[in-house]
Amino acid sequence: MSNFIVCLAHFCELHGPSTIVCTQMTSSEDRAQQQLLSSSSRPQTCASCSLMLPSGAMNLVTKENGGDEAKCFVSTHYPSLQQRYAALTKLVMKSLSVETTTDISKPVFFGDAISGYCITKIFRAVDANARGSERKYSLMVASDSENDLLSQWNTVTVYLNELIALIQKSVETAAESASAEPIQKSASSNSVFDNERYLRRSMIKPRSLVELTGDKDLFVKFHLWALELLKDIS
Amino acid sequence: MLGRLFKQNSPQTQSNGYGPSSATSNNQSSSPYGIGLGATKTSSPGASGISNNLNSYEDSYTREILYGTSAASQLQPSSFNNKFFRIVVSQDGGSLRTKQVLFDSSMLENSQGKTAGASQGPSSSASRNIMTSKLHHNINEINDYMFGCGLPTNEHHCTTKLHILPALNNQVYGTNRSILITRLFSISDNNDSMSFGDASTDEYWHPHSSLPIRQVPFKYGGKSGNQNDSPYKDMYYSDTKTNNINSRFSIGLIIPLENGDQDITETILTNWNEISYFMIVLQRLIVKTLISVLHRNASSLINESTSPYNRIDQGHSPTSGSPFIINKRIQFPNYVLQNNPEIHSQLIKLIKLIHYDTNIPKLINSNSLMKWSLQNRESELSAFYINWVFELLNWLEYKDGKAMSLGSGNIANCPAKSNQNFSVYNNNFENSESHLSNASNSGSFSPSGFSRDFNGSKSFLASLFSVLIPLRHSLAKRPLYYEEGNKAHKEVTRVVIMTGNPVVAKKLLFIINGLIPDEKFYSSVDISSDALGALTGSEEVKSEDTGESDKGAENPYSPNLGSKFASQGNSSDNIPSTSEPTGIKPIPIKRTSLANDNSFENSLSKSAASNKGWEIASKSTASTSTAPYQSRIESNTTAIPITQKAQAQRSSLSKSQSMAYLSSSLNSSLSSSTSNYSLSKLGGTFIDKWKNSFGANQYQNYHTSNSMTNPDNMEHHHSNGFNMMNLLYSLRTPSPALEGDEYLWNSDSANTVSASGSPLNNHRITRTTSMQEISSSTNFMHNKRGNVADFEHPKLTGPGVKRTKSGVYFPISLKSEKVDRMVFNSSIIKRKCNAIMNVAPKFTSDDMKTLLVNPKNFNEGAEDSGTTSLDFDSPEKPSQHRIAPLIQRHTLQPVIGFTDEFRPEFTLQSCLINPKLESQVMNAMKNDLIFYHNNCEYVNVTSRTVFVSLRAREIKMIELSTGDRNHFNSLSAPSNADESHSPYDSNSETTSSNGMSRDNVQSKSPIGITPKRTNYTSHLNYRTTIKKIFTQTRNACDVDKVNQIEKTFEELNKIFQSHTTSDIEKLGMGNNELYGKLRRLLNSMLN
Repeated sequence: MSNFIVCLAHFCELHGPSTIVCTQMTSSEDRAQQQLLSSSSRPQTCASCSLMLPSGAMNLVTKENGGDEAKCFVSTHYPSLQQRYAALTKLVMKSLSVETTTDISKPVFFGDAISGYCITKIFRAVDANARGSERKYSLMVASDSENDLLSQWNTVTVYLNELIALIQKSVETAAESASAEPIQKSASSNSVFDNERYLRRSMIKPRSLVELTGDKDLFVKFHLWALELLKDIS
Repeated sequence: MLGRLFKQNSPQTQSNGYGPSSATSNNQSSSPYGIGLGATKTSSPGASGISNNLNSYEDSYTREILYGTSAASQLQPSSFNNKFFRIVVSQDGGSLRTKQVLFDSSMLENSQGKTAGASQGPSSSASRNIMTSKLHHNINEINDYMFGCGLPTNEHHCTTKLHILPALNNQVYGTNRSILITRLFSISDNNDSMSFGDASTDEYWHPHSSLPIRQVPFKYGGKSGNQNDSPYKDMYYSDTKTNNINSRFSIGLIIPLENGDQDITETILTNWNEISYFMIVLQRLIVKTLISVLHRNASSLINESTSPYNRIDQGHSPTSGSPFIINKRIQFPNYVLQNNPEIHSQLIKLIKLIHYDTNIPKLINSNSLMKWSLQNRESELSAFYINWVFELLNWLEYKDGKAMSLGSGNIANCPAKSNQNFSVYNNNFENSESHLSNASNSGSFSPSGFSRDFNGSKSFLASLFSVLIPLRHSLAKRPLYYEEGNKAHKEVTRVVIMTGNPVVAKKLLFIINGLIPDEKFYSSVDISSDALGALTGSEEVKSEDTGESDKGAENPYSPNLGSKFASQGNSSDNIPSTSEPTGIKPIPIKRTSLANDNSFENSLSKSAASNKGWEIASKSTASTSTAPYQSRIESNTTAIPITQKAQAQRSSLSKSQSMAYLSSSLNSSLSSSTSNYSLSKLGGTFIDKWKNSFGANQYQNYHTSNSMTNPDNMEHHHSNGFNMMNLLYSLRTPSPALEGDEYLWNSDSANTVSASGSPLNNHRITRTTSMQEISSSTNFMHNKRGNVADFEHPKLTGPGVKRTKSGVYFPISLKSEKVDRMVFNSSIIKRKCNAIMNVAPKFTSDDMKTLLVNPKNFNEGAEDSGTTSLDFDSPEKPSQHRIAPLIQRHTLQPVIGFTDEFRPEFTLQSCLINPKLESQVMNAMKNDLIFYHNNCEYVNVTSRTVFVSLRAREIKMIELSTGDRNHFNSLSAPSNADESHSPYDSNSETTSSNGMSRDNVQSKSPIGITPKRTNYTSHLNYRTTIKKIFTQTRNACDVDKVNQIEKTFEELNKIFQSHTTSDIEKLGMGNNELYGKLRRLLNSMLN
């Protein structure tokens, strides 16, 4: 049986390519327990890199008993299993720093027999506090089976496209509503503000997608979205 | 200049860019590089869109039994422009900004253009640039995709990438959508860095590629002078200290796509294993070539180089023995491989690979459908096993010479049929009298006569079954398939049918295909059965391409089919007035009296020139005298003009055979799945035949006039100035009765025959075909006249299974053929995503660190109408309807109908008669051994082929096996060279350098003897076994097994004799005893 990991990664201006959230599926509860992060896990120091969940939780778990076997879906900041962690880290790094494509609306497939294979799609979210006023994210589905992943190309790409479109729409909506609030700011002060930010990079600060979209449950929704994706391709 | 401009602009030239290149070799000699443009100047066997559609011109019945659908539109071939295929080899020399291009197939085209442009004046170059600008992507852009930008990586293992390239717009060739497949690999002298392709990891994450490759480090001692004599000598497995030399190279395949995303699945992903294999072979070839270049000294390289692109950078001083190793990095000059003809030939192989694997439709797995319908009595798919049994009995009757008449009513209806045809078509003339007496006395099957004749010629099909049934699980696996785990033994099994008539071969393929299981397919049918009703019950499912309702669609698999046929059949005066649907009755082969015949069938038989059954010729060679046939058939063939060319080719045949040969060939080519290639090669197109068929109608009109004047028949036909029924028969698949001894692949002759008004009426409709053809003739004609591409109207012909050329969609929805799978799935996913993102999730806190999230219930609050539907008009109301499961795609097994050349990637295929076919098959088998032994670490590898010659009526088992691991090391280096010689090129001969030369192949053995000889060559131990299992005079099969199979055949025949066809077709509604018996018999063969 092939293994799949659904991952949202980000090119952090402080930490470089890093995983924000990844969702895995397993048919065993014991294995699901192994995939949970403990409280002593690596601390999340950066807002843009961190997995911001309600109530300060670190893991999301969904159990389904439909069908022949029970399925358990676990979302964490990064894979707790060493092999998966190394594989996903490398795939994320390549996705955000090595692989290139002219048209980011097209997904890219790459991988090897050491780390695994992935279908990834890069997208950008508008953020006035980011370098270049945008943040770069990678949404990917990784697998240890080249054939099984490629056979689900169509389904995976549609899922990626839909979620990216919805996230970008949420970010734009939140940005529009935020820009409408500060009435006291004049256009001139804004330009000075932008110029200062551009020259000094003084106003760059890490921001999470939760903040950008204004949706505190965003990563819970991501978990549900990844759950549906995993069910459809497994 | 203008001449060149117009030439490039001419539609003919443009269309010539499509299709697999058969004429490529003609251009190769004219190339200044020793190999021509190949694909860019090829003739175009599938050039125009029209000729590409030829793939679909099989009759609906043949399509249904073979492919599971009567809709030809689902099997339409894609058209690729060969100019857009491209192979690029680049090198990472260490610079972040620039990469060295070692080979670029598009450069050859440009250089030829430059040469031509220089001779025509300065302005021609500019015009050429206008014409070819943006034909290909910039090489720097391609290098960026292949190697990536940004961080340099230090890797040694192979990496695979897939990029969708931005579309290019060309003034001549239009928009070019293409995909880039990249293979990154290293050449290193470090043993530690190289390994078998797949790294073993823990149980939770075990990455594995489609096909592994064994990367072998090369040995480099620092001095290259002594290695010039043998570039391969001591190149591998260095025992000396390594120099830590490592360089990264990439291979890029650019493959055009016709329709973007949808073609990615059909063209690339479905054939991913085959493309991966191609990449492995190409990688082997390039590594071998580069290492040989590395071991030459710089001066010899310069002297040898004639390419204008070779620019050895003299600014770098070599730091080791080779001038190409600088700072422990291999740095070849640009275009160092550009002159290599072997790499150039890979482009042609790539084009052929994509064309054949994409455009030849795979057969539906009828084994699963039959098993499933036997398990589910009321299944709408029951026609599959009924047709299968009928075809099996047909074969036994007409090809094996058994008296397998179906029911006394049929015999009574066509009294002369069996008597004459059995005596004529029985290959064993000594026994013809007994068959004649059997048929004439009772008109039924004689068990004693059936089982008594176990002398080989009487048991062809049973013998074939006895061979194939034990192998069918091995046949269910792709030839190129690697699975993790057990590496003790690997088996590859193929069945190759060499035939002169694809129509007959397809009947046999259909029967054999019923034996090949596909567990995944079967489970998908089973699972999807629940969703079937829900999905098909949807009235709201729409498609972008059509908004028509499906209410009028008739299901070809419906049990009601029989009644439909029956009603049609009763319109004929000559059809017995029983309630049996004549669509599945045996068709009269020859009428003794034509005077009172006014039915359609009778009019057809009236003009039938041949009274030869669909029987394999008994002679073993092509030149055998056919005098007995001549004496019987000669009188019917006098009016047929035959071209001189055809006569010359067929000089050894009698006139009557030539007649059958021509007629058969014309119609067979129409039905051949790949005949479009052959037709186009010779200038013939479907339109030509279609137009010519009008001329033929003039002859047929006379004979069919009576039938058309019958009001019962007229109600189903149009009268539009020409006789549509004749046109139908000119386009329909010919009867298997017309199995010619040769298949004419000359469209000129075929066209001549048609144009001269010869009757294309040597048809004898099979019992399951005839009425279906008639019933669908109206639809067929109506659509055919209007639009070639739209000749199958779904409403009237009713496509059965929603499928593509290489895949089938689940649930197998018989009424949802209008649903576009991608549109449907996209809408489902979109609704799911919207439902998730727009609604607050529900979760509870398990502990301080974990949240338990409730899964989203998309059907919460949905209208419980009992149906699952998708409402495209109200995406904002996601909870209004239940959300259906996604339509899943299942890739079909590599089992095809007919191909004009042997393709090793298919497990079951029929090929044109070719004296080299057997050697091509054996070459492919050797490559199996080498690939799986070297790259996949299998200890024992066995490759076998069941080789069936329909003409010689022979079954031969060819088996190659290897398992000696002691010589593993000596295998690796030479085998690299071997793989590069025959990567899916069935026509290539294996060279002697691989240790598996032709001399080692066991020659054909005497009948019934199994020669075994172990060939101890310098590199590889393998064993070749060629066993003739069945010939006309000997039968080396397991007698008990054959008898058991024949007994099953006999019982099946009894069932179909003793019950009316309507009884059989209504198995799902009653008659438990009959159903149980039939189920038991079929399961004994299918499971």
